[in-house]
Amino acid sequence: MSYKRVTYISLLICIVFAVIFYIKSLELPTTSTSAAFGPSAFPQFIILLIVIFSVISFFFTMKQEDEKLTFENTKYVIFTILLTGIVTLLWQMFGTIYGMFYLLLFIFLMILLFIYNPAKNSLRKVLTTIGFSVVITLFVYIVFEKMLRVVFN
Amino acid sequence: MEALFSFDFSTLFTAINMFSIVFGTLFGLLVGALPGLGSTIGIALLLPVTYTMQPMPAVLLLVSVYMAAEYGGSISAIVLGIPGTAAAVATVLDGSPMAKQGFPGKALAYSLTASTIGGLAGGLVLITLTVPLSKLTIRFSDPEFVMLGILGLVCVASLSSKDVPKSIISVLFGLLLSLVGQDSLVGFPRFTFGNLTLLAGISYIPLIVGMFAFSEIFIMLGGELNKRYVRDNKNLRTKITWKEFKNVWKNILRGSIIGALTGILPGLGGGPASWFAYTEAKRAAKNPEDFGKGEPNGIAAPESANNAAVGGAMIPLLTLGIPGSPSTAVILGALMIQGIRPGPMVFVTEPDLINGIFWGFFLAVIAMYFMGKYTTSLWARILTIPNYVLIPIILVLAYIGAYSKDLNITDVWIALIAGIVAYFMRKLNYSLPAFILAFILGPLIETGMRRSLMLSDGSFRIFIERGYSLAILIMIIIMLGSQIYTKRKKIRSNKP
Repeated sequence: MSYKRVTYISLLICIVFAVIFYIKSLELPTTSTSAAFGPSAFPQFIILLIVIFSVISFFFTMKQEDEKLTFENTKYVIFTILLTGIVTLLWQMFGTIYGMFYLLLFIFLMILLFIYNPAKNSLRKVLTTIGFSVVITLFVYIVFEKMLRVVFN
Repeated sequence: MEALFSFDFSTLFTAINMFSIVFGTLFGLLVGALPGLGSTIGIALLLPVTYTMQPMPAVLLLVSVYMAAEYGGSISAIVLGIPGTAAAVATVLDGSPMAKQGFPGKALAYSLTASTIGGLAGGLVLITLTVPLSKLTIRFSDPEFVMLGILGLVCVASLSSKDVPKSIISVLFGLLLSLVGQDSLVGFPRFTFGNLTLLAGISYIPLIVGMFAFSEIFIMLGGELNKRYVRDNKNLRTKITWKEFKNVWKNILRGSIIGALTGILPGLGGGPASWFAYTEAKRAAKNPEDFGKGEPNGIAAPESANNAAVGGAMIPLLTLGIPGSPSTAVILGALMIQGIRPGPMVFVTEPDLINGIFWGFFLAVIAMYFMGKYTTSLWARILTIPNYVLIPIILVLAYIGAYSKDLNITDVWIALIAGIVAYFMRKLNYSLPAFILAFILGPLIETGMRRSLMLSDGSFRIFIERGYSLAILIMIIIMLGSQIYTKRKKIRSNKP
């Protein structure tokens, strides 16, 4: 993937975000009775600078030599993000049930440890995965819930 | 200064404080030694542990992690040739060749000795400069804090990334996102998009955890998952003779001064400090051709500098409430969770805590020396843990770290999203330190600016009419001018 191309896309996203924030800032009062500058002045100034520097960065990038941008093991990265999201969503939905967090944590660890482990599938791999998952889950329970009083439900 | 020596040491030498220092040091050595982690992630991962602690042990724990991680970074730099932290990159140049010549223990001994002296020098600078600076900054008002905030952003934007326009964009987005939530002066909700949980603003602890820890996990996933770093643990005994020490003491001293002063500047910290010290050591050497081939001074100079930078980075945090680095930003978060707002007034309201931090800082350095001396081979052995086990552990700790500040699942979402964004930012050379510092300094700059303009009936002259404010403005102009001059010079020298 071209570094320059991805940079241009990122700068475009920056400008889109700036425009969204600018539209939202129009809902804010421009002046207030208690302050010389209202709540919209500073954000609008920042937004203006974001647009200006995005354009400058565009030309700056154009002058640079292009290079290849690599995203290694993207399947693992995407899988980890999705799994973390799903676990968080399930925790949000069923978190009031006592012990649900630990069940989800155990399953989460099992899946990650199993998927990440490059060894061939075998009974030993399954047992190692279960062993590590149990130890880490127990560690979280003892250290965070029992010792530090962090409540997970 | 009198208060420093009349400090009641019985409040420092408590079991919990000693435990915090020892545990923090061991954890710091671990996260420093593991390539990719480092002090910011280490401090962020331990943050939940501090929520139920008293302020002093909480800060000592995090300072010990910060200090030890700087030395820990050199373990993998020397043993494996892979720097554990950004601050240990310069150490690789001579540490790795010396290890390959069969003397890894000797290289580690140079590193440990230099780190210890650098840490002590940083502590001395911290004690010496903090009290007079706090007496000066107590006279500061809104215009000065606005200028200091801008100075910090100028430093971090111009020095923290090779792509300056992208660093500036990172600063600007940090500022913009810091404005989400209720306006501090008139209470008007801004950029909350109808979400009530955003009324209090975006919590910066999950943001830091996400940007540093989650993004690092995604980067690690891009590497080899079955990677085991260490080959063998032979010759790891860390000892140097008096004669060997005499050969490097000048560069340790020079590195310590460079490190402590560099640490004070926002956005720099251990990484640039170690490079400055390495370059200076090589420039001043009678044998510059030996650098890169296992020259002891090439290890001693950067290692003393990166540990001295820890003390330097604590100075703006304590005197102004402005963190100089991402690591001190997390320590600031820990203090604020404890209900303590660092700044000039903290010396009046919390003198015991401040003096405890000062003396505890030295204890952390001593702990680092002894733990480093006797446990280095253990950390080298821990590098045999493969990444496929390490990544889920770090992920779970980061996940809980984001959640446990307010026991709020929304914070986990913030951390996850921040991690994804930061992953791309790192790939594209945007600056994470610049973003985070701007996010923290944003409210200070905006509120200070609006309050200043209220006092001056909307006139910007208030920023040049006050002596201190004008002095800081001149520093900003000099900083910008020197940056522009350096860039132009570089461009000119690159032209054929």
